[in-house]
Amino acid sequence: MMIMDKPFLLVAIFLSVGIIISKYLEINIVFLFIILCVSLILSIYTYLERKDSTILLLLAVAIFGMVIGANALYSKGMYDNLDSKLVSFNGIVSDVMVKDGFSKYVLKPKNKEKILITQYGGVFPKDGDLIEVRGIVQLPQGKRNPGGFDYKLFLRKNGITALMSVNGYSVKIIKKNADSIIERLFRNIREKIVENYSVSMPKNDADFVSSVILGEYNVEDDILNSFRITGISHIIAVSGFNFGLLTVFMMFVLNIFHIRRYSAPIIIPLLIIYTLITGSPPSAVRSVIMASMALIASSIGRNNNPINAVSFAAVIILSFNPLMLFDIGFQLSFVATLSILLLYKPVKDILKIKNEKLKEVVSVTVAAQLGTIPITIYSFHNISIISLLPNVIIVPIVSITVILGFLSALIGLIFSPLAVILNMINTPIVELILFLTKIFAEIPHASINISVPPFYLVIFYYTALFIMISSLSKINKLKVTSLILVTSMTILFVSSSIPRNLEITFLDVGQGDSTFLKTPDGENILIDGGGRPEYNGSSFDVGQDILLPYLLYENATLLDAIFISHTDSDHIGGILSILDDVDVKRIFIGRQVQEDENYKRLMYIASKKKIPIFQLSKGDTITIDGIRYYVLSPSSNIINENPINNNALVFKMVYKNVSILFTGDIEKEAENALINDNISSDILKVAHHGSNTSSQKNFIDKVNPKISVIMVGKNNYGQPDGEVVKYLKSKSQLFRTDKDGAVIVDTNGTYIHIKKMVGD
Amino acid sequence: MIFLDLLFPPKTNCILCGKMIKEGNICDDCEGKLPFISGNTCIVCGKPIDTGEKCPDCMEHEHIFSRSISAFEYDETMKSLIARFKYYKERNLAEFFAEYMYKYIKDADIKFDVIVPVPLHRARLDQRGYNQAELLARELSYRFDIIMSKPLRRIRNTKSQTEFSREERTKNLKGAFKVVYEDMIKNKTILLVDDVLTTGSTIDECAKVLKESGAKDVFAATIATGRNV
Repeated sequence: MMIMDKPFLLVAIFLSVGIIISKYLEINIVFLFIILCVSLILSIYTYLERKDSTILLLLAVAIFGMVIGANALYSKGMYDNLDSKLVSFNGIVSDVMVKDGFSKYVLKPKNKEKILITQYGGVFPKDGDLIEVRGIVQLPQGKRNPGGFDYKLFLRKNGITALMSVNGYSVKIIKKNADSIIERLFRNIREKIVENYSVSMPKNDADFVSSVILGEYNVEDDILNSFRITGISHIIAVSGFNFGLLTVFMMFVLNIFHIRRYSAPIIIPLLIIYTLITGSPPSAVRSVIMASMALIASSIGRNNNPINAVSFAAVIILSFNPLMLFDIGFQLSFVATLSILLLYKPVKDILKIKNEKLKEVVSVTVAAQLGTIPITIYSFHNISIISLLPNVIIVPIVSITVILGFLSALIGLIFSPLAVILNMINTPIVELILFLTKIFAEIPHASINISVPPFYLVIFYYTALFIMISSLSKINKLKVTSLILVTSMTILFVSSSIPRNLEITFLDVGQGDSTFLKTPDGENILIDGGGRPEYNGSSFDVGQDILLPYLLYENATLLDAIFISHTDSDHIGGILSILDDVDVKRIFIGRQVQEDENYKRLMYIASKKKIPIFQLSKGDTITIDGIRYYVLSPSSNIINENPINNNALVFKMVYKNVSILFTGDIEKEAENALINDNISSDILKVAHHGSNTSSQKNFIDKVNPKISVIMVGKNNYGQPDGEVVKYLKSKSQLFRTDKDGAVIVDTNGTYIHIKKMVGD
Repeated sequence: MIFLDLLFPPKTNCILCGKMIKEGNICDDCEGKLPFISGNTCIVCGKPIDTGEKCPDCMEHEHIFSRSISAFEYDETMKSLIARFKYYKERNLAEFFAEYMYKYIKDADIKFDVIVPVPLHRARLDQRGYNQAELLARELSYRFDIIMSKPLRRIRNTKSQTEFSREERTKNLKGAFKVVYEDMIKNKTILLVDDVLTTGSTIDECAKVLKESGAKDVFAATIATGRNV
């Protein structure tokens, strides 16, 4: 590994580091800009003095990364001061996606940033339409929970800075095909190709081929999921293989006309056109840059270093859009390519496989996976453990489909009937791919959930990989690797023996309750699991989409206890949804006065998974890891008004001198019953999302909290109630998850430290 | 140029053994093993000979060019290097070869006005993408600061010479070249550049048409010279 022959690798690394720093340290952009200028002047000076200016230049690159990163991340959006205001916009529609009953699309008003619009009902506009839309501007939310999804960043990466949710009658289509001629041309080509596939192939097959060839990404969710489980999702991205294939094909054509030496000026523009047709995903941009550099190098008689080329591609993409660094597609595409370039040979040298062809395929797969595993774990919290097999078996078949797909796309633009024949040949091959994927995906435990490893382990992992490919001798490699192993073990041991605090996280699960406790000895306790009422109709699942990712992030898939306050969906829904994905030692629930559907489902899953369930009532005390839970309700006096809410499990958690009162959704009847108990606490989990049916003044006075937390999301019940909020604010420091995101309480039993996810 | 170096960084390993090197194309060990021509050489074709002025070949056949200079003997190493240069797109080798050719030509102390590469037929050019002789000529032109010109065309796509005898080679090449413009060569001394000189028939054929078009004198320079056929 010499760095001299791949200078852009260093540039790419320093640029990326700069962008990452800008995300975690908010530094004044003007200040950064001044440092950038100083370092540039210094490096020019050293260059003129004929001294080595490499380090100074790289420093300038890193600072440049910080400048463009900070600018992209933290600059004010154009719509920031229109939040929650009713506004109308005229703009061109793109990226239309229609699902049953609603349509999502991007609106680009002239000279303004893009808006993501969700339209329910009415006439859905098509790509390229000029529309007028009237609605309330919403700003996308950043990360709401630790380890959660950063929607704001996700949208900003695509240039979108606002959201709008509208009904059909708020949208007026002014003009069809109002985009520029070039955009329309590419769109028409794309639509024509997709149409050719869909008229001559079954839907799933056509979707698959158009994804592979054009990066359409409209494959059905269950198929997409089976690709993920088998670890072959990469095949539905527009990849380097597509570009390699196109290049070879065009070389062949040029050869026929004896103009092969003009390959660069002819092929590169065609590859760029193809990239634009695919909508320029990062993997395609990477491939087109790498292919162009190879072509240019051979035509000007220069040496082309693929590692340098892939690094150059990264530098180009990041310079234009630094946020791409946080794009999972970008990360996987570049890391996989780099891994293959660096690790292919070392892996091949180690493997002992007789068949040379098989050995090559296995080496490529293993090389790519070695590099991408940490990224996969970080982003998806799971890995496919069988992926080698599907990759070796299915990927070669996919290449046949790609070739046929390309031929049919090209021919179809000129003469459709011939394309139909090619598609008919392609159909059984695609069917085979989908069939094999389904078989592999059905293997039990094909994909396993993995908790997010500590960051230093990832660094160690990559260092170890780097050492493996370095030119060190075998003995030295062994020495360094064992050193790394010992260090990480030591850190792991030391960090686990340091006494820790009790950490209580009031999660932002939208409308609903969920609290997670990490005890000083590292035991995991969950109190309620959120979950939206089912009639909402969206496929969003709090359990799978918020709770499970959070638990995986916290390395907490073994839950020592779950407390369920009551069986309303916004408390138990998330728990029901994740019980299959986590291990639970025991579940505590209040004594039930009536057994509803949710309760029956809980009993069913618990008995299937052999989780003991304890019904608690007033007077019970539980101690887990030195923390006591005094159960205060339900008592033997059953409350008949709103029985599910009022007979909820209420308990006071006491850790040394700190106490928290968990109240579920109790209302004033239950509050009255509790008023003479020992309810005074440092922290109050405000009852029933701050509703005016609970939190009577005398109850709050009696609890007398220093801190109160309302867990609430967007709802139509008027929660939290204005009066309640006002009174709580006057008595205590108030946090609410709809404004603050997750609220994290950290205590050693005496002092309480509070952090909030949003605006802190 | 520095930007090109960043985008397409030159290789940093020896072209023969692959060992990492600081600069240049070849490591010192490998350079020492290259078959440089040294000692007594034929004053016409430049091939190494034991004694005398001319090699037996040149005594028997009169050449049309006055003198040819080569840097290497055409052994197995050179054969594979030149094949990489010609057929495997390693165009960067031109610089490497030209450096040595430059030294040898300079040492020979000859004067010439224009450098002319032996042309490639169009079909070959399309296939290969470049004319290796032209790359060499261009590199030499930089080094001598003497103009390069391409007055010759190969009008017939001749068969490969490798399997042919001397007579067959001459016959094969007859009428293969044509001068397309004469301005640059009239009354000029020319340095013809090619990759390998075996019998010299290619260079002779070029020298013939050049002289017919008014060239005063023709020298030749090649990377390597083969043994007599």
